[in-house]
Amino acid sequence: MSSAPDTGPSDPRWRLTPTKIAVAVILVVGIVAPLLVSTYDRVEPRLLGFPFFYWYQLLWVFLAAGLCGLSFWLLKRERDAYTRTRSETDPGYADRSARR
Amino acid sequence: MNVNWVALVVVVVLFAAVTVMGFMAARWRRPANLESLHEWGLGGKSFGTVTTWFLLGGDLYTAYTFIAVPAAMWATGAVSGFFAVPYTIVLYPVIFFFLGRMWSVAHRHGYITTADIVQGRYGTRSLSLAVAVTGILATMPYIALQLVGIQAILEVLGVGGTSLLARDLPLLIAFAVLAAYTYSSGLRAPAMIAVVKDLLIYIVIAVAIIHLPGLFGGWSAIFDAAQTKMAAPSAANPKVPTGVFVPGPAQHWAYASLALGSAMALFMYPHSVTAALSSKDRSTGRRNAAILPAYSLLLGLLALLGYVAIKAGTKPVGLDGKVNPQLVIPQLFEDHFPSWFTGVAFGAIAVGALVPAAIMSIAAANLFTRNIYKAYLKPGSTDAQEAKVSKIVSLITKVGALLFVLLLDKQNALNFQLLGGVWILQTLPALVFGLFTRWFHRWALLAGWAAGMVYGTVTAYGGCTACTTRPFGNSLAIVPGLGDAGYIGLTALALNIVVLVVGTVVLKALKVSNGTDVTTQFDYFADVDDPGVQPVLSATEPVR
Repeated sequence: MSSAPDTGPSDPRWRLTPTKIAVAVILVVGIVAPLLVSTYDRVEPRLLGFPFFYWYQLLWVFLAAGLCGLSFWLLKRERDAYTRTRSETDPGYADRSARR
Repeated sequence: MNVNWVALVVVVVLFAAVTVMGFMAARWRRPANLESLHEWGLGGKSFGTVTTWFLLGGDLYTAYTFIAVPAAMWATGAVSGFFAVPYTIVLYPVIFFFLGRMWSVAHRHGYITTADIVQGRYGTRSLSLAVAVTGILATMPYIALQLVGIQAILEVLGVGGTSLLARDLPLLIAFAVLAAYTYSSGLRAPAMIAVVKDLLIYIVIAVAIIHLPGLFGGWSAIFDAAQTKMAAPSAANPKVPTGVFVPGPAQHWAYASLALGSAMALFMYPHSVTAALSSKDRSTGRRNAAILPAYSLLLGLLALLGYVAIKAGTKPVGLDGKVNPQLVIPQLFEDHFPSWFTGVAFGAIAVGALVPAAIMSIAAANLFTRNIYKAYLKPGSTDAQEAKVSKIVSLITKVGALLFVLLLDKQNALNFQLLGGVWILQTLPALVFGLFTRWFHRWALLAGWAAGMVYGTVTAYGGCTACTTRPFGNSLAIVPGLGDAGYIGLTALALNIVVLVVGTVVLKALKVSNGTDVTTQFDYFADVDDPGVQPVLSATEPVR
């Protein structure tokens, strides 16, 4: 296999950044909140005939999708920033990345 | 025999159309040479967001969604069925954590299976063997679930008889056709078929959700009927209620642990990993995590069809005259749809079960060929020998699945998927933790895996509380120290991690060698077109 010639054994992206922590928090909320059964184990209030227990969980389908979308955007922003920084030291990098 | 001919003809026509598509798929974005695992097994890693969406969807939402979950809802209500909704909700945040890294390291090193990734990270063959064997074993009950689904469709259509051959012949024919075109087209076939299948399913669901509740007095009346049934004394044991409408405090952990355990297990399965790795760049999987939940809504509405069937008074009686909950959705459709539309619905469900069954058996066969046959049995084997081994193993996997169908209780098919989850979850520390840190020790990972496997298998075998008489009858057991019932797979994983952490500390203190890591930090962030990154490097070579 070929090695990565322009990076050493460590990579700056391995480090924990504020963005990564924010994303981790957002995702953990998206995992834990739908599993807290005690917050939604009731019948009332109903919505269109659906007991609360059922419509609340279906509502979370959209909330979780939103949280994943937000995380995706945050990480993309960080990655784009990294690509810009790299481009300043390695002019060829941006051209190659721009093809994506 | 009372055969629904119109529906049967529509099913056969749909199936034939899908078959033709499957053979044509080989020409889709045709590569120069289809004869490599990279092209055949990963579709040349050419799939963009839309194709990956359909492929993952086709992979994840199977007979489980259409047959098993509504059947469980019909039979015993929320805890045994509706947990699938939070399961598919938390699934996406869970996979968001590691999918990017997994794709990158696989891309850099040409890894195709989970065992490849573990082998690259720890350089320990016994550990990657454990991962490979677990993957193959856990896939079998999951395929079995698909077989139960197809059989349910055929049974309601009136096809099949009392003799063993007559009952299973249509199933075997369907399977043979599918295996043939999958073999010629590889992953391109299920990817292409998944698009058609999903469109059909969406039409069927839309009609079912709009049309059926109106027939039975709307959702309020449906939920009331379900609540009444769940509160009534159980037929098997009059001292307990039939099921659960809204879980009480004692059932909270059961509900949450089934959802969380299933979510963490799904992307450890060989077939899901195959689908995830076949995307063309690093972001595709994550972008999909944000748009795949559309399927979760569909799953939730399908699950509620189990309640619709309660209100409708559907009688899921099999050809043998016994009540079989797995027949409840096909029977509901047959009772209340015109014959031709029943055919469309059944065709969609049958194809929806066959496609994942094919991907699963291919993925399990790849795992065997790459990580057991070529790594251990015959390192210098030729491509032709490998192809032959793959064929045989995919057959063995299906026979294994058939054994699960015959030996275990089909009454609760959902349990098949949960049983596979008990096993596959034990590979999570080796695979996922390794993507983030190299701190854990390889022998501790192996010991943790062994502890989880033994505890999970023993508990699941004897842990029959519901109570069906066959072994592996239930996936819930009292969690030691907690007192409430919980998903056995998650309890076993907790034990696994305790052994892992303690073992790692001890082994590190003793300065035992922790194997060779051929990956670098850079590998976990690599994307297509990054400098120094080449496309798949050694897809034909096993990782040693």
